[in-house]
Amino acid sequence: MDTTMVTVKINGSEYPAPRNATILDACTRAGFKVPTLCYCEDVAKNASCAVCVVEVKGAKSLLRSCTACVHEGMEIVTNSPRIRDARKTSVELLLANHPSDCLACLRNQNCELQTLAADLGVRGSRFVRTKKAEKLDTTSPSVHRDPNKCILCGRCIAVCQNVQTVSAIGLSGRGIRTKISTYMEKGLGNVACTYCGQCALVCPTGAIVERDETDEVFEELSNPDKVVIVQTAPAIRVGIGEAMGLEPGSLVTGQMVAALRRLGFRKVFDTQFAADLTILEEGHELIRRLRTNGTLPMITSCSPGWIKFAEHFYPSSLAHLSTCKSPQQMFGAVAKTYYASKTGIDPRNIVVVSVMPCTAKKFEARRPEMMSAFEYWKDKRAWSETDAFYDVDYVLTTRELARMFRETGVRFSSLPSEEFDHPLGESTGAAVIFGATGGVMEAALRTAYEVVTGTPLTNVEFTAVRGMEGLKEASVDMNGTVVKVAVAHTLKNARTLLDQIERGESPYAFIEIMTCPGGCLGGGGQPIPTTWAVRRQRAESLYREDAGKPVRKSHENPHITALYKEFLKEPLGDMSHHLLHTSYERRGLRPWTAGSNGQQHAASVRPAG
Amino acid sequence: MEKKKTVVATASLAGCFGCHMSILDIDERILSLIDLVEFHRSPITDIKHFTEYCDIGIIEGSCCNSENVQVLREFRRHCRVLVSLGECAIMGGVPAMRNGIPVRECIEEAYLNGPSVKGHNPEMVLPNDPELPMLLDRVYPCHEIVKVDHFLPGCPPRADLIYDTLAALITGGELHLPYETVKYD
Amino acid sequence: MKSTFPESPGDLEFGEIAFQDTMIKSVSGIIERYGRDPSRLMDILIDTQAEFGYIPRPVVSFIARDLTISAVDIEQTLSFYHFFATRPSGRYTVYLNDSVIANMMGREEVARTFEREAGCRFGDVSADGLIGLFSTSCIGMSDQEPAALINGRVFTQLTPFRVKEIVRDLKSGKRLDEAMVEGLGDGANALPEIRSMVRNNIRKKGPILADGYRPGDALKKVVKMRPEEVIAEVKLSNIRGRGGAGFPTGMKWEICRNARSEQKYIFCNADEGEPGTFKDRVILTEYPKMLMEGMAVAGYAVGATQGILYVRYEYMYLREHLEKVIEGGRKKNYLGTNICGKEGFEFDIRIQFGAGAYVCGEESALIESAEGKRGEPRDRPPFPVESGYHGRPTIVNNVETLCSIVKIVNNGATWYRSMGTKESSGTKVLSISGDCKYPGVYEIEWGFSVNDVLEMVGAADVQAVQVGGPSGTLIGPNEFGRTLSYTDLSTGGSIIVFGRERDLLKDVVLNFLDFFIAESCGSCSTCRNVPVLLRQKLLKVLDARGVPRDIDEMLDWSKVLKASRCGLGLTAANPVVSSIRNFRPLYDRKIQHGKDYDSSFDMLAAVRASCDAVGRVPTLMADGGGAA
Repeated sequence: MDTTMVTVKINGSEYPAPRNATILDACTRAGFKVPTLCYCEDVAKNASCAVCVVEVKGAKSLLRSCTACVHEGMEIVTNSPRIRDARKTSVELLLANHPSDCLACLRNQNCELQTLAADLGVRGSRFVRTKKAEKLDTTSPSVHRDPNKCILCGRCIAVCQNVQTVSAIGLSGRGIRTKISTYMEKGLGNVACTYCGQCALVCPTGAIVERDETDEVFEELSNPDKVVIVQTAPAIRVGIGEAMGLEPGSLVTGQMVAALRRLGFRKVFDTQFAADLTILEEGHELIRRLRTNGTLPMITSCSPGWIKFAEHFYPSSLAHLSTCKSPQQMFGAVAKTYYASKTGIDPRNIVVVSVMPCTAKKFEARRPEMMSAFEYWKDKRAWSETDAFYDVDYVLTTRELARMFRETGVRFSSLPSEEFDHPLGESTGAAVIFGATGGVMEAALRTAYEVVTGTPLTNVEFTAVRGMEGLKEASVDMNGTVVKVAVAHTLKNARTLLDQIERGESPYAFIEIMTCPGGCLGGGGQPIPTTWAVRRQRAESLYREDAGKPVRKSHENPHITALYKEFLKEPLGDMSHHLLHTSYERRGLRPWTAGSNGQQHAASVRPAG
Repeated sequence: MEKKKTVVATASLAGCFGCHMSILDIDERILSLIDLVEFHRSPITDIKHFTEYCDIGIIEGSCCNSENVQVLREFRRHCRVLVSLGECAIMGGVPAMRNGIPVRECIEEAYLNGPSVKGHNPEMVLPNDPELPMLLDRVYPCHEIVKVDHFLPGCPPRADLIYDTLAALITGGELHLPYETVKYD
Repeated sequence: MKSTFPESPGDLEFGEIAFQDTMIKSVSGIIERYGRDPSRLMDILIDTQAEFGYIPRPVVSFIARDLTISAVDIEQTLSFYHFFATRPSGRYTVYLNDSVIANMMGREEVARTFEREAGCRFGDVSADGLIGLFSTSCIGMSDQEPAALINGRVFTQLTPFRVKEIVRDLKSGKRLDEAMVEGLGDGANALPEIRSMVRNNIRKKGPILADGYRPGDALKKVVKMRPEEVIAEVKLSNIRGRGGAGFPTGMKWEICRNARSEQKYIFCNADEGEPGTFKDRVILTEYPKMLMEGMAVAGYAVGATQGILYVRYEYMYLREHLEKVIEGGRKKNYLGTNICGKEGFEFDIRIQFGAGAYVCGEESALIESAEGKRGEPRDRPPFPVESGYHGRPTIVNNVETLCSIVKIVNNGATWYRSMGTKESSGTKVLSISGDCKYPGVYEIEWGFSVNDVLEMVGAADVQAVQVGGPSGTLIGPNEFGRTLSYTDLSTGGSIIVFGRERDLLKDVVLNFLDFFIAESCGSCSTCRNVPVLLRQKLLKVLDARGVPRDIDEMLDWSKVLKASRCGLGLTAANPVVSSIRNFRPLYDRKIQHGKDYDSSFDMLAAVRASCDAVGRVPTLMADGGGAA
């Protein structure tokens, strides 16, 4: 990194700037705000919107400050009639082809195009439409696309191709007919898309949004015959505050619980309870594999985006996946069996709503095998297939929950701090850190270590697996057996570990993979914007909550112990097998030929021979 | 000699007549208005053809078929000042929601596939009576067909606004649109 | 719902062709040929199209699987280039160019004849699948228009009569080369490895287009010099890029030389897409050895061992010829290792074809295309000389520039500077076409005035001259005294002459706008939208519905293109701006003065769709505003 400084002139005064910094960087350092649109730090620098233009003495045209670099003595002007005119015209050209339905758009008041137009004083567009109307893509259960709102900034493609290496979407056509689309416009639900929602997270407008389930949840809440319960992921308590106007990373667990009660949920439970449960099951699964020479390395299975990725791209790794369900799904199964039994409520009337930082969870909840509770009760109660229900009924992203809070007038600042309900609300510090990359690994190690060695840990914090680095590894000495583990976040980094496994060169026993940058706290359903700085703040809050918890190891959660004693009997036992474990399917790279969770298509004609 | 009254003509093209109702919402002030104003071609008077040159033409609704265009052009030809009244006339409004959908699809939806017609039109008749005007490729706001002098926003514009505007046009006075008129939040 | 996904290729969604084992073999072979390298996607797609006539969807899926990239990655590239077809495009695919000169020379009649004879419209394939008719931008044959490509073979100076003959021959089963009854062209065009009717039309030779060129002289000389000395000589000659951008070549080489990297590249830009430019075609035909020697010299100077000759798809008919030259060069040790006996001096050349995108003439877009991607210009910095092909230091030089280098090495920088002007040293090869007696290729010294040029080509009573193609400027007689140079009227070679009878607005400006609309890469909202808007405005003016405000708006909206990311965007409004500035009376004549408003509403066009739908025959009244 070049740390030589040069002096540049910005708007008449001199400022230092690192040599080879972009003009945009230099201006930001000097305190000048240059408006941008397609530019997204760490994600994409497409330089296509022509909003960040500045005047540079000697240059024959306006330069794009996001890519042009400074040199010694450069004279920059960031504000002049010519610049303002150019910026406004660029925005007007975008608005000319943009639908004017801000009020109906999910990104109303949180849209970069809207904010930019307002900031620049653009009150309308002089220009007529030049593009044809495009169809919506609603084929995916997680993420919906409206190409009419797309400004072709390219961020979604950058994230999908570079950060996730999935390439579900790309550019098609040329010139005025350019558009962003899936392969042959099949729709996200019909191609190899992992539903991770990172595209929705970086989209500056409402062109890609999460599938909204708030209406359905509101309807269930107002149905007196239903017992609507909610579970919240760890990442929510460090994300929802942001969406309600607090500082990024604010830890608002207590207010979140209070707010959820105000919304009308009968019981407010915690996904973290199920996270502890997951550790018990997964920890024992790992130990069993270690002891019986089972398939190693074992890979975590709580990230549905990662699961779908493996099912499409690395079917050979499916045997390595833990058979454990994710905490969300374990919760659903337990709620509709154990909790239903304890309370005597008819499981068919229990509605489980989960709040997740994740869009792929909407897909996970609808996977056909996630009906374990129904399977459990079916024969006991002699139900027919028409009574069938999912373990988890609805999944709301953090953004949807924020919209529900705003709609019902919840004000976070004036809420008291409340506690989760029992028996599915108690959790340990190990469960909290599930939301951060390395958290599942650390939680699992805390339990695995003590079970294998039989001795308590002196220090529960495995800092080697913490932090935002893409690939982390650690070695844990369990009474002489050295267990090597690895942690990856983003699917690009996952590939490194998976390619290693395919070549037979993997030295690891246990691998944690999270689809989203930073882990679940950077999930596709989290508040927008989510930058690395924000991710770090959210992570810091999670680790802070962990440190403040009296119980920090999953196996010491008394409610989990009770669950096993009363109901599950033992980890990996018969009950667990039916309720808490699952299987996977090979999806291939061309799911549209034979139907998938998206649309059904007629079976294709087989080739001759 | 009696001062000649200002002659006003009005029309509703592809409009819902809500703007005309809004004109009538000036209530009893219409009594003082007709001292100064005389309505010529208008649904209010039911005069259907121009027989003289008018001072003010007020148009509600957008142009969605050829007859709308014809009427609008006649208005432009016969009126000194032309006013677009309401959002449909100004930017297309609700009828313009069909813009972007191919015309054929709209016609087929209306006469073949729509929920209330499906199955009831077995001969698949698409009306073509010579009396029927033809749909345009898209719905046009008035100023894209003829030059429009003034625009009164609203859906519908408030009666007070219409009254004040007429007053200003007749007396030649100034009119400032109050902020609330153009911002609805 | 357990699904069984076919793991073998066999995706017959469209039932176009049964994807059989032989085809798998063939496509696998193509992929192997290019080392299973995804960055060679352009070559893979070109060869696939050559094999099947188009690029079937099942093949795309197969290639994606085989290269382990996403199908959408292939779609990105596939959908960007004009010549990649995803549907069968006829056993004989006709691409008739619609450049301004083609239109001037009778393209319209030729096109209508094609349609009548083939029995289908442009954009379609005839019912029997024999002939597909498509339009394309200028194909570099402006001095022998109207010209078309039929399955890659060039047919020039078409007439309705010839079209009838050709189509009838093809229908009767004759082969394409049998249908080509024109005699072969001059010079190398008659060689068996080209066998084309294309003519060179070299009207004026010069220092570059000279007889007596001995291949190898320059190489033998440079291996006795140090690379820095070679660069110093180039700098001394003051030569600037001959492709149109005019960057000082010596400076470019020096920066590349100083960039540290184990691998550097020399690209020769033979994309020649600016309408009206065809001089590089002639150089590729007649002086390919000089060009390649120039590339090797460049390689020696900057320390590059790999050369890539990027040729536009339309010049595919020169492929065999160029490959033969490269092979010959290797045999003579002008390419390969230890060139001319110099230990450690290795340089080789491979040919990379484009697939139909003018924007790929821009150096960074060219590199993107060579990497198998869409031809979208990169953000600069970093510049290609520092980070270009696969992130390595890359020189991109025009064909003519590299040939000039050879002459500079042979004859010295001082000799070179003695020609041309002080700032614009040396000569320029021009390709001149349009309303003139002697269209063709001329080599002149910089400093010629436009009047000189017009006299040279036998043009009289000239209304206007387009210097530099659509991205250049349109000048009238009052400016014909100006000189051709980098400081006055610059051009990459294209000069188009317009006689009195031409309607500049309709025939020229509108055509140029259509060109930019078709060729814009689409990245920037300004460049993809503004030309479309300008075209709408221009049509309004041409329909006699314009008002003075329309002219002001056209100039106003054009200003925003000054903030463009690449040269295409920067110059896309030039046709409008320069014609308004230099030919204002033509606009004024059409504008309705004193009127401040005219809608461009066209009743007949507006009711067409609904009339078609219900079967109404419109009966408009005299004022055009009556009932339909």
